[in-house]
Parts: sequence; structure tokens; C-alpha cells
Amino acid sequence: MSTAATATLDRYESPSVATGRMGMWWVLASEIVIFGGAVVCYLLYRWHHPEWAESAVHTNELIGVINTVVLLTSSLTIVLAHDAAHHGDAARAKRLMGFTILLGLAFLCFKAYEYSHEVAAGFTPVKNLFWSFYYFLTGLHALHIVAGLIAIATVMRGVGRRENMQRVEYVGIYWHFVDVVWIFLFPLLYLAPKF
Amino acid sequence: MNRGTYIKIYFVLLAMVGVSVLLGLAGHTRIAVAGIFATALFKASLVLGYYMHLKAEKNWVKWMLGSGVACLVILFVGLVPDIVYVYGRIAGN
Repeated sequence: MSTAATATLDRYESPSVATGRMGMWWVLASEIVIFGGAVVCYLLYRWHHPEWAESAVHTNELIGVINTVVLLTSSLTIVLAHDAAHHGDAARAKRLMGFTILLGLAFLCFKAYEYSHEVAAGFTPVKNLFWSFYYFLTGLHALHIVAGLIAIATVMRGVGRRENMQRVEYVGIYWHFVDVVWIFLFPLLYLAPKF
Repeated sequence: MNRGTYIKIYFVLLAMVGVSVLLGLAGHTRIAVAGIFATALFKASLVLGYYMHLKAEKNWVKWMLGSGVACLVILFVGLVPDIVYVYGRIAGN
């Protein structure tokens, strides 16, 4: 087993936080403020604009549900990839990371389909403030999905050579965070605004 | 944590998605909205605790993430008078 894989096995017994993981937590702390700031602004405006409910009924709830299931499934595959890397099974880790990438691409395809139908129906980002927030929040989230897919693909190449196996956990933490953001965006934009 | 636990958590998460959709269909009430967001908080806590292993993480990591959330609470409370009261009064004129 490589030195990197051994280091991964020792991760839970280590008295300190690994540098890579610490860096990832710092990134996520800043991401909380970026996404959270936008969500706070949305909530405050939504509070004052009950008429946004009329716009919100036009969001596609079915695709919202499908994308939620897709992202939750991708969270499962990446955590299982981390588990495989933790046990030194590079082939299984690589395969599960591949599934995660496919699920991430599926999410983007559903999102693109949804956007195209909304724009075709006249619900563009300049239609009103609700749609501006909708495209900003979901677009920012989609950009994070793209960044996550690039990161996972990069780490996957290394895993194939049994190098830097500990990085599976780091990209996994990032990917789960993107999932957590969607867990809040789904009710905010698809379920609750209709009320 | 073993694979079985991850898979069990996954099915709980899927069940919670179903609950939130049912709450969305149940009726347009404040209780339904509260339920939808309580479900979202529960789902997020499962992902953070079990998939991101935050439960096993050092306390300073939890404090660091908590400080980000605290900033958001301050932002929300600080903006309420501007957005809701002042903006509302201008919009009403």
C-alpha cells in the first residue's frame, strides 16, 4: 500500500486535522457566507413580496425533485468512493467517482432542460426579481457543480494510479456541501415560495 | 462508519424528500412551510454529520463553520429594518 493510502487509513486516529481537509473546511466556511448571503437577501425580499408566489408556481417541481434525488445519490456514491479509498481499494473508488461524475452531468442536463423551457415560456432573468434570484441562485449552484466535476475528474486520474488517495475525501466534502446547498435551494425555490 | 450506514442514511434522505414534497402538496399553511424547512434542516444535518463526517471532526472546525452561519444571522437581523421597514414604507408611498 502506498504512503498516501496509509496516511488515509491513519486519518481518523490522527490527533490533528490533515492540511488538505483543513483547507477544504476553510473554503466551505467562505462558501457558507457566499451562498448564505444570497439566500438571506432572497428571504428578506420574499418576505416583502407575497406576489412572488404567482411566479413560483411556474418552477418545475418534478425536475426539482428528480435533481434532488440525483444529487443525494451522487453524495452516496462519493462517500462510498471515500470509503473505498479509505480501505485502499483504488479500482472501486475510481468506479464510484465515475458514477458521481455521471450523476453530476445528469443534474446539469436536467437543469439545462428546465432553463430552456422556462426561457421559452418567457421567464427570463429580467422578467422580475423572483426570476433574477432564481437564475442567480441556481446558476451559482450549477457553477459549483461544474467546479466539483472538474475536481473529481482530476482526483480520479490520480486514484487510478493509486496516488493521493486522501484527496477523494477532500473532493467528497466539497461535493456534499454542494448537495447541502441544493437541499436548501429546493424548498426555497420549488416548494415554499408557492405559499 | 461502514457502507451499510451510508446506504441507510441515503434511504432516510430519500424518505425525507418524499415527506417535504407531500408537505408541499398538503396545503398552503405556515405549518407546512415550517415542516418543509425542518425537513431540509434534518437532511442537511444528516449529510453534514454522516457523509461529511462533521460528527467526528475537531471542535474548531464546527466553530469555524458555525461562525459563518452566525455571520448570516447578523446579516439577516441587520437588514430586516432596511428591507422590510424602510423599503416597505417607500413602496407603500
